[in-house]
Amino acid sequence: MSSTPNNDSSVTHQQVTFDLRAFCKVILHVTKYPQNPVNGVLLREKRKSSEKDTGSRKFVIQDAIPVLHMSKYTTPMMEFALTQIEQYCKGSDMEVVGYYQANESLKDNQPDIVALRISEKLAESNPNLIVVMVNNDQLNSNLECAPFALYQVIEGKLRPKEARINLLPDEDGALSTVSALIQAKSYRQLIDFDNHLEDISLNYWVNPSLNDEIEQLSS
Amino acid sequence: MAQTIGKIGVLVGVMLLCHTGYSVSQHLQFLRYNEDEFTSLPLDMVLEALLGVALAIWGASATKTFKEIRAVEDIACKSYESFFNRPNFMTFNHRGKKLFGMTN
Amino acid sequence: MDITKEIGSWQEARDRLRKWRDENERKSEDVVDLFISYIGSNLSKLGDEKWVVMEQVAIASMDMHNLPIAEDLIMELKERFPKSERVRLLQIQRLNLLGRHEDAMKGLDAMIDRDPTNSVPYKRKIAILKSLGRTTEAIKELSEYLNRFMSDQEAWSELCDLYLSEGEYNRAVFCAEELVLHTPHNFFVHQRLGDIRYTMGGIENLKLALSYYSQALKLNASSMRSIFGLFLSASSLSTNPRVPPADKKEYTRVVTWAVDQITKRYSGTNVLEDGKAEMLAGVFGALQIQG
Repeated sequence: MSSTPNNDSSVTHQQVTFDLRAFCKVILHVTKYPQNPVNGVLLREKRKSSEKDTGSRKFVIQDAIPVLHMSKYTTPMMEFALTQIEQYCKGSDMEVVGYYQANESLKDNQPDIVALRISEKLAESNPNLIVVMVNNDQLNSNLECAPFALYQVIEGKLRPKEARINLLPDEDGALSTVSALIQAKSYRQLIDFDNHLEDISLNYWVNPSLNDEIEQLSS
Repeated sequence: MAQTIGKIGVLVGVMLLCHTGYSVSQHLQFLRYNEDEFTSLPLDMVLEALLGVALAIWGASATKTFKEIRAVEDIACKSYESFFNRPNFMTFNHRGKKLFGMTN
Repeated sequence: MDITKEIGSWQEARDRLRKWRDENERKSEDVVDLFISYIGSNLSKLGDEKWVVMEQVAIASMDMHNLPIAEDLIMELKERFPKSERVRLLQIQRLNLLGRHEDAMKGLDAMIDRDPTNSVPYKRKIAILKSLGRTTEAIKELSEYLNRFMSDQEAWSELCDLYLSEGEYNRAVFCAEELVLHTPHNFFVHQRLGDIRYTMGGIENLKLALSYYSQALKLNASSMRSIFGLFLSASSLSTNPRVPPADKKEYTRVVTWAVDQITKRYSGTNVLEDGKAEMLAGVFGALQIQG
């Protein structure tokens, strides 16, 4: 393959890999608020300029920042959160590469107008944005597979994206870790932007105590 | 402890007031019997009434169970989630069924 | 944190349940956990409060799809209050849980026939329509309901959300304004209206959003949502080319004040110790440029 420009746009990302931390945070967010619609963003480390431009950099989602579980249809809080997250990323060499959403209703798993609006905004700075809709129907306290459907913003619409979903360190390990976290009710420690608004000393960008918990249970 | 003392204070205060009321009615009856004019209440009854009121107020404030008088204070302590909770419109078809359900 | 670690005795559990009833909190998982750990074996000690607690736990356990607990409690309540409409409602909710929506609707219709002045069965019918995804019907029924029961705040709030989900912002505003009329001292309703107006966009709506956020802050100076909303509205207005310069000056003053307030609050915490100041400055800068 000939060398490609910096923005991976020619790489088709037939695989999307979720690091354990990102995967657990998404699942724990939807578990903490089972009666609410939830959403958040997905991050990875920025590619360093010293890295060789091989054009085949694996697409790994390394972390997730849970944002809302209330006021889905109004925009100000989401706007503020996204701007804060963008600035946080600048300061910690991360970039937003995805958006996740879970709808309120069990059978309603299609991306809606809110998903489209937010994805379009995020896709302005990252055209390869991955949109992850959590499939409520596939959820379980003992997960059997990653309950995700992937989409991409193409010409102003969200189109399904064909890609294999990989979990790190491996499928079984990730699924059993997240199930253990659910059994241990670790989702109660998760902090999202809505929690941060009630108490701004809570760190929703990093979720440090949850990160520790995930580390502990995965080893 | 403060609660009990407060409650006793209120009780004694109210009893003093009742006693004052009874004393005043007896005093007025006595005046009518003697066909005297009513000029003013005897000092001891006035003092007893004031003491009863003071004791009841002190007792009530010692129990410390007052709500804020401004409604806004009450509301400021409530959670954002409670504002959106509408029990009569509650539905159960959410992912809780899959995550926690003991129905299937 | 796990609620059972916070609570040490059945009395504390009972007090917590009472607090959640008074403050209209859902907290279904916590309610069920407290019941399993403390209340279940001490029900007889609750006296007359027992029945109201059982109703609360029955609803919470249905919300958690814990059918065994729910069915036990509903059966006991039915034995004690065989003719109660409230217990009948619980039975109908159980039918909803089991997916028997037609039977539930029939039960609610029967309740309405018995007592047309009871508002609850109407609302539960609308809830069923909502859960079946029949939003347009739900909106129609709820509007008709509100023609009769016009001071029902819960219903206005529900209709507001239904309209928002359909993108009908003007109608949502109307509902939110009804809530402001009913409870003008409640900062939440002003903040909510501010959120909706901001979402609608445009100079007039932003001005209205600004005034609602200001009122919310007057009522509760510690509300972060209101101060963020105030900053966002004022900064959009101060950078909008169609706003006259004199007004822009005023809005810029509001922005400066809001920035000051937000910075003060964040500096009182140790979150993101290292990068906090730069991050905040970046946020304010970015949002002001975007306008």
